Amino acid sequence: MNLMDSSHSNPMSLCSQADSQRTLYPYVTGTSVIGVKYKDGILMAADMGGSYGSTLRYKSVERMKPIGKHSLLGASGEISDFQEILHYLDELILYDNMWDDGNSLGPKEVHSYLTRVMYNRRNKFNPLWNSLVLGGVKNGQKYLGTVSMIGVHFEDNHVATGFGNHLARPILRDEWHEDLSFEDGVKLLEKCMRVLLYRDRSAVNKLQIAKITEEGVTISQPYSLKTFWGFSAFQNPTVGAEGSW
Amino acid sequence: MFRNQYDTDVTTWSPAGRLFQVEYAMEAVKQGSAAIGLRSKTHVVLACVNKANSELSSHQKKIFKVDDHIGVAIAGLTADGRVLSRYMRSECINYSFTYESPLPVGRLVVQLADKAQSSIRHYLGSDLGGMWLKIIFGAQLCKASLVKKKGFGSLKKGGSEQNWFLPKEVCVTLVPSRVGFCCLEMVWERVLTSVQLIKRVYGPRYCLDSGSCGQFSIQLRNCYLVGTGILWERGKRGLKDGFSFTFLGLFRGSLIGAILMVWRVHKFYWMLKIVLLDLSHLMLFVYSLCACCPFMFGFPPHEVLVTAWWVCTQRSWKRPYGVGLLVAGLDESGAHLYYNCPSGNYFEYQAFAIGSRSQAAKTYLERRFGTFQNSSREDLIKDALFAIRETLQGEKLKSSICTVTVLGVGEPFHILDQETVQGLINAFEMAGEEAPAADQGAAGEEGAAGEVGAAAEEGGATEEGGAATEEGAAPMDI
Repeated sequence: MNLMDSSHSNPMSLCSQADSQRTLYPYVTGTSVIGVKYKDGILMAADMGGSYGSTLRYKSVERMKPIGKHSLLGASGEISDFQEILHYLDELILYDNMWDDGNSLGPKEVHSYLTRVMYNRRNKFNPLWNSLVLGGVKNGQKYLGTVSMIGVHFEDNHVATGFGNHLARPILRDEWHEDLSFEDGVKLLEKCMRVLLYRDRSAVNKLQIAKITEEGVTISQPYSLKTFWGFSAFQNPTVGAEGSW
Repeated sequence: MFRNQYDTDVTTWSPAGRLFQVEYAMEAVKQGSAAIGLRSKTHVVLACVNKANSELSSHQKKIFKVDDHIGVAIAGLTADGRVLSRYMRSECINYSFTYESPLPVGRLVVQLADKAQSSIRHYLGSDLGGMWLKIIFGAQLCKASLVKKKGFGSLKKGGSEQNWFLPKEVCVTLVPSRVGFCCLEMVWERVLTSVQLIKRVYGPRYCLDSGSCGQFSIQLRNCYLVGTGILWERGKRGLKDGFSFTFLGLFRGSLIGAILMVWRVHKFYWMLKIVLLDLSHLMLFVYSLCACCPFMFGFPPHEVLVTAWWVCTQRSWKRPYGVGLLVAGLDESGAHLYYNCPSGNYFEYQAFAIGSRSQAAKTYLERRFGTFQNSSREDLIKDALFAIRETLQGEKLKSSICTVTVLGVGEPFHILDQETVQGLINAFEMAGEEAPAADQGAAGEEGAAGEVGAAAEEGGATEEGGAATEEGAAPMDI
């Protein structure tokens, strides 16, 4: 039973044998997650790849999970640390439910809690190597926020992690607007995911779109995006440059 | 309630199933000056009577702001109230820090009630690198008698109640009286050798030869217990594979005797037993702490430092809190008013009054409470002031003798300043207010506040009087 709660300090961090227990590099990682606010709530997209270094090793990793009644968490980065975070949140939600008093933790509270956890771990030089996207709806209020592995956190109308920050957010800045319909939101997300698929080495063509509204969470079945490779430049690529590939 | 043989300590049940100390604690609440609270859908008002010891002194603070959305009014031992409000503030601020959201009132109230219910708390923890050994069972107080341990040294009853101490042997003089027995069990899951444990618990100067005795000290949460004692030989003196110390020392200025025993009960499990005897009062409270620690964090044994936080009998933890709390709060589910009892119970109210002469206020509130839910803020404050006036039994209501606080939607908890309150009093006052001194506030009160006058008339009466007041008020029903 591992009760190494992140809010308690880790005494091993000062001993030499502890070094092997700190997170030094991530091993199995997920790539970008994108989240946007839309008319009824939040839409989030992430592919299902878990890379082992440069190998696209695992192709069915669910990187988005519902948290409690009101929130949805998506993570990029080290998959094992994501599972650890889910374990903490599980306990958090359990205790919240045990109060059984009509109050429940909303997305803002979960986001704050995750910020504290991530920042605390960073201070001990043993970070949870993830960038998280936390979205949800409670009492009609939509909430979308992000936390990085060093505890940087903020809320916005659209957020992304990893490569998504560089490739997806410019698209979202241009094309996102208030009160997107569900279909428009999905189209927008798919546009971003397609760019990522073409340009991000660690992306796999199997993604899920998750939506959270006042009613609850729905995570779609995995599906693939259509890609186009029939560019004329790809036919006879070595024409005019013998010997090149 | 009359004194009886079951009321000396809080851990004694009476044959009728009552805990008299808890009931006496509730009496303390009734002795404090009045505090009242009432709520509507969107606002909660707390008001109290300011009592000053003398004309020269300022009055005691009875209403505390706990957070922007929670306030508390107390009646009873104000010192206890201050400590509890500090606890509440700290809970609120910690929750706010972690979740960036206000703590739901209902949860704070439950935490308060749990605190009141456990009159003794122990935890065994370690400060070395922040390791924690958690207590898995709660402490149950029960009765036990002090048992003579074989080979331990006889327990002598001396003529005087002096305690004396011999090397190689410990004798404690006991005045037979009640004993309290407290048990906590914690289990170590790691192998802890006795040497390591002793070194840690007792300090490096300790020498482990059986039969030896020497000076040692134990750090108990900011104070030191120093004494001499005897080590039980392994396997002997009824203790298998363990050791024990007994000693006499000073603990926070009071004379304490203690017996510490550690022995192995299983390959991986050790028992730590501490028997503490409070000798300074020459009353006998023997606390025996049986502890086996759950060792759940995977640290090597030498990292474990066991420090015991000891409960001294003079500490306030030993008795129930002698203060009743009216907690006013606002959260997602609306406005709330709770009353927390020293017994550890809590109730939600539309309106309530506690403290001395609160019955008069309660009577008034009982008649009016039907309208509170949809009251406006001003009406709610007005009702609060009237209720306060009831408890004054004819004394003139001035802003200097009462404190009024408001909490509402869009309005953080705050105390209304004196001018505002005086202004409200003047606006609400009826022409007939001058009569009270002469007439116990009866006839003079006729007017729109007719039912209030009837209440004041009956204010000095008991619960039965309340019923009569009801009848008296019927013709002037609002």
